Amino acid sequence: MVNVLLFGRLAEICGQSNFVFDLLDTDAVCEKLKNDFPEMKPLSFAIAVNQVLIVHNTRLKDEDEVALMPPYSGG
Amino acid sequence: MDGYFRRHIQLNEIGEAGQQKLLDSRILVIGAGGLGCPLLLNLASCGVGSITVIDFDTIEYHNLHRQALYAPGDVGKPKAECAVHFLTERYPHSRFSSVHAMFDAQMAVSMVSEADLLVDCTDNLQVRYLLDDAARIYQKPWVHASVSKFNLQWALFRPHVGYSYRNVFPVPPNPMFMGQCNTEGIMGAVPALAGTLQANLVLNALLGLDEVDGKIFHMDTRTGQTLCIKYEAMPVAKPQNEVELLNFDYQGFCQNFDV
Repeated sequence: MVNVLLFGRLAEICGQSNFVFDLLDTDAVCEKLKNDFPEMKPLSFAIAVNQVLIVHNTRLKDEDEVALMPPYSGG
Repeated sequence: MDGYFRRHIQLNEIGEAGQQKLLDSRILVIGAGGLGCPLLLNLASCGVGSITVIDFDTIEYHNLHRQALYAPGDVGKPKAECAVHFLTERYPHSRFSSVHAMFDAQMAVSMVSEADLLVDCTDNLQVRYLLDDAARIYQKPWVHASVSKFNLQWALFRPHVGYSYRNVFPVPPNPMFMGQCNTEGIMGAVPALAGTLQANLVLNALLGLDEVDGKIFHMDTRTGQTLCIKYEAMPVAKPQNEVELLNFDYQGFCQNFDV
């Protein structure tokens, strides 16, 4: 199982800031969230696995932490 | 040096030489709002010697709950000028100047090369990407922070050695879905916290004490959860020089998104 953390608008759309999924890679995590919460589709965000930014689909192992962080613009 | 900075100088990591380094430093601060006010207070009181404040905006009554440099009597006046007036009265070790204008590529070309470090305290994505590019071209570090409701993110970038905002967020988000303080509201202390964390990064960077290359920080202030996300240095394709910077269409870039 992997622990998925959501921040900002992403957490608001999903109604919670934390999910536990049994999924194999980061693409599958994003696909599941966008299917379950279509409002997420137009949003862009950085993806970190165990607090390391990833730029390509990344295979996940048990107890990995996936954080989805959108850019903010308030100042 | 008089006793004003005694508690700084007591730190082995700073000492008289470090304090002199701060007094000799020149920085550009873009934005004198929710982030800029606490940042400027911290940097001016710590003796950063030359501070230029750039902001196109004027003070509105609803700014006052989080922009502590301004008083009700300042409403309607330019932020950059009011901020510099406030700081000049209180912080005798620093020199301040104000520019009441929108930061653009022309301004970047004329001002960035003279500064030691740049700070983005705006709520503007075009300025953020412009600053990231200008910092890379002129080989300057820059400090970022931004907020959304109860959350903040902040980082020191050195784009000329590959640590760039574009590495973390290569494509600007669709502005239709970006929250802003003026549309979604903001917890007053959140930009104060972010601006202070930004100021701390500025001081560390000017003193050569920072150890944050390749890291961007995020905090959810309601849970206290803080992330330190690491990323690899990567090259950025364009713009690569002054001419390309002046010709880069930041407005188009920040509105060109896939939905």
